Amino acid sequence: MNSCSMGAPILKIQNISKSFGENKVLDKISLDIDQGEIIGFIGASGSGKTTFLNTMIGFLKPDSGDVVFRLNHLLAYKDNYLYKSVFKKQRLVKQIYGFASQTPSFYEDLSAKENLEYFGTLHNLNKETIKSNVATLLSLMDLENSSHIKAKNLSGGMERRLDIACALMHDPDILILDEPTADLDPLLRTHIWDIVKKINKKGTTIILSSHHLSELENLCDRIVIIKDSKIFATGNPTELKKQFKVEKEITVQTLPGNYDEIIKSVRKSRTVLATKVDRNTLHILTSSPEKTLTSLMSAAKDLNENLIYINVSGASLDDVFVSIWKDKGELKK
Amino acid sequence: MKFFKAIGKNFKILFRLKTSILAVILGPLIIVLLIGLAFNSSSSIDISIGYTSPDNSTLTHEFVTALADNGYGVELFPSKNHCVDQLEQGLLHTCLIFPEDFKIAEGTSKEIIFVVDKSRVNIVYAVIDSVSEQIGIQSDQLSKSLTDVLLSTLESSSAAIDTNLGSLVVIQNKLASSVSNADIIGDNLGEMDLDTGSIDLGTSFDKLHGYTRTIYNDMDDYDNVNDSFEEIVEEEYLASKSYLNSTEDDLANLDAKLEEAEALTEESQDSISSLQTDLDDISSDVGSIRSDLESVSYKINNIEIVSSDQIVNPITTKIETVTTDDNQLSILFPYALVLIIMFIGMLLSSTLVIIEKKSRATFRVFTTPTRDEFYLITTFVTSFIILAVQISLILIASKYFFIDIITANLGVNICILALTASFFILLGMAIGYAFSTQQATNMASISLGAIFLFISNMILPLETVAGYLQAAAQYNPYVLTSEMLRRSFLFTSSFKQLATPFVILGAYVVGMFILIVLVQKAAKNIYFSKRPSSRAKHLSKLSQLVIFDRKVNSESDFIIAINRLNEEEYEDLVRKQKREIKHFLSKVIHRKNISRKLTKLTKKELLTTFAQIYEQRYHELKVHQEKILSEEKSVSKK
Repeated sequence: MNSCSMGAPILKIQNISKSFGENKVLDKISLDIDQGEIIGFIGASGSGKTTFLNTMIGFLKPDSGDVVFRLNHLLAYKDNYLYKSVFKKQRLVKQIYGFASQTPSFYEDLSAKENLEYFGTLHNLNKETIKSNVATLLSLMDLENSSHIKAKNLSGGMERRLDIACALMHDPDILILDEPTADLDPLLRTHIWDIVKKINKKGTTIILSSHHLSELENLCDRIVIIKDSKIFATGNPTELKKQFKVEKEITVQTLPGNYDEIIKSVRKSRTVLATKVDRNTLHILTSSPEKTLTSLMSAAKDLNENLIYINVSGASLDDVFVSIWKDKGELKK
Repeated sequence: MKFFKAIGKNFKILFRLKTSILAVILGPLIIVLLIGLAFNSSSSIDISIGYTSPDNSTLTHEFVTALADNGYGVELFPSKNHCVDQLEQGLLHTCLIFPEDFKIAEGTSKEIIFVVDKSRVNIVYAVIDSVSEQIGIQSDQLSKSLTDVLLSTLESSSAAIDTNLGSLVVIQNKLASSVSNADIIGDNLGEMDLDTGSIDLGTSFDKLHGYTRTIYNDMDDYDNVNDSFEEIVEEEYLASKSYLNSTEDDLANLDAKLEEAEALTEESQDSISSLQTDLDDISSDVGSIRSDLESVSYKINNIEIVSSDQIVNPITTKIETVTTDDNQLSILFPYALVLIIMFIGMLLSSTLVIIEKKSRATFRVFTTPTRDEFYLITTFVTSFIILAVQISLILIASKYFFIDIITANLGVNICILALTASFFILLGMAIGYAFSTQQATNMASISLGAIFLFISNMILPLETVAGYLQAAAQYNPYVLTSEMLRRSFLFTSSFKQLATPFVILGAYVVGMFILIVLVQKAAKNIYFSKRPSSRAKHLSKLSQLVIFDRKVNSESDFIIAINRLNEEEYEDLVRKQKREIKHFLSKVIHRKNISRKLTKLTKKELLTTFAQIYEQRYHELKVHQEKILSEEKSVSKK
């Protein structure tokens, strides 16, 4: 965990279900979110991540269940906290979270600074606080030089950073980021994650969803996998990787490099899932690296191929994700 | 082919948009239906007339009955002021002021005064024409009646003259006969010899008397003179006898003359008798003629109207207006001002709402702990301020360049304008919340404004539409507010006089506000009740590019996809999907420079350009990170 937990969860999701017409998007989901953690939600497109995030903060009312948030009141001590439903205390809950949605949300015809100032006003901040927060956020988001440019003229990365800045303007306890790096190039994604880490360092709980799973792996304390409207799995990335059997990739270079014959031979082991020849390198995706390696060695020997390079890459969070959704959703747990 | 495809695309878009269907297909149908309902009436203009008549004379009654019989609503008022007051309120179309002792007679007043409200420009002349026509008909009837009297008198006079002409011929003949008779009488009288010059009967009688006296005297003397008596008598006898003979002759002569005279006299008497008869007849005829002439004279003298002007125009009308200002602008000004407020108010506020609704900031706004009503109020106030400034400019300009009708009743005017602006702004906001696109809100605002305008006095007089719609149209916000403003501007009506419309307008404003709160909540619920993925669907569709069956959502996806292609494939791609790629580069990943140069770049050059950008970005990022690190270090040192 990147930052210390405060013990009692800051949010408790209690058995929520939500349907759109006949399409059930959330099915009896329960989850506690601790203060200060970075929790990531992953799931296939349309799996209900955004619905879940919107329900979590009370934008969407669930068909059943409740979401409660912790009140920071003077009498709170140890685990003796008061919890209130986010659906009943909308104005209060809006003060403790900031939300950056998939699509950056701000006024395009206002400058970055003007947007921040306006949203600060809507959050009932006083002038001094607004001034101070605007300066801090512009600096944090590296938008100082672009603060007077109209938001519609900002680049994609700048837009995303401005959106996050707007969500942070009232210094919320919880920052929710829905696909914060979608449509961004790798460098910008790195930049955004750096910023997220910095924000988290200040004690802000980060709830995020992303389809850049490898990035979540390095960022999140906890990953929640949503599948078939339910929480399919939850845990830290290491736990998840252990939890699921996933394919590994064997990369081989041989001389003279008669890869077609090698492939024919290793396929006999029936552990090979896919093969690909890229220039002078053979990539073999396998569900059983040991068996495939044995078969590969044997084939090389039989075909008089000299092994000059061999590597077995470990499973990434992407592999976990893919393994869960592959074969038409049949689980390999 | 391309042409038809474009038309097909247009139809698809049109029919898939519910608002378009409403506006394009149902809109005209609704308008036609409204027109049908409005004007499906055989009645022409439904005019209400008030009148005052100090003595309610028979002629007034006839006029009023004739007006009522011809379908006019007629109401008696005790005074002109009462009637004019109702006229100013728009409850009447005209006031007819009948004069006291209104009758057709020489020397009596025969002028009917029309009081009309010229500010109701589109109806006033129709009212004047229509009522004048009715009064003209009545006047013509009177004129005809007067002419009939004249003609009848002339006819009877002519008959009397004809009759008397015969009498005069008879009189003429009789007079000729009388002249003849008179001639006869004259002749007879001329012929009658009554000259007794030769017959001196006096002397004879004197002599006879003398001789008789002598005899008498001699008789006295007889005693004395007996012896001479014989002689004396003889002598006297002889003398008397001579005289008697002479007298006898004279008498015979006289008798002859008298007989002749008698004959002449008888003849004359006949003539005189005939003359008398003639004269009696003449006298009788003359009497008859006199009687006839007296009758004609009586009839002629009994014609009351002898002035040709009065016969031609027995009734005259005079038109008075309740407004002192004849300037057409001042009359049109209230309608024009409300028109401006209506359209600007609705379009402005609906545009503001739709901008806010369609803004990317909508979601963030919902995340703030600010009440929904806050946004309603801010939108309302923004629109109100803009509209207030516009109205002020119009009023100031009109005050200095055209007319000053605002200051006379400033308080009432401001209240009406404020309420009017509020109502139409709120209506526009409701439209903005109800519809989802700028085009739809614009169309809805304009359509609604056009309907308001159509069912008002601005285009056609309300009096021409069906009765039930007429009654409903009084509650048309445009009619209500423009009438209030008209009365306030032109007649300086007080709050008390405008109490009812003020209450209705106030209720409209409150009702509209409640409606907007509900519509806004519904719109918000709809916004969040849509699946988030469907919300993002439109955006993702726009931002997505497909390169050789591979979905490209981001810059990195694009670079990877391009990198997989060989030069030939790349050129083919750029040729076939130039527009899509340019759109993706400029709008989605904001690489306008690359988008502009796309067709000139080879694959290698394109990728090199991206690499240069990343290099620069990487450098900037590194600088930024170093800066933050140094800041953190300095903070930790402190």
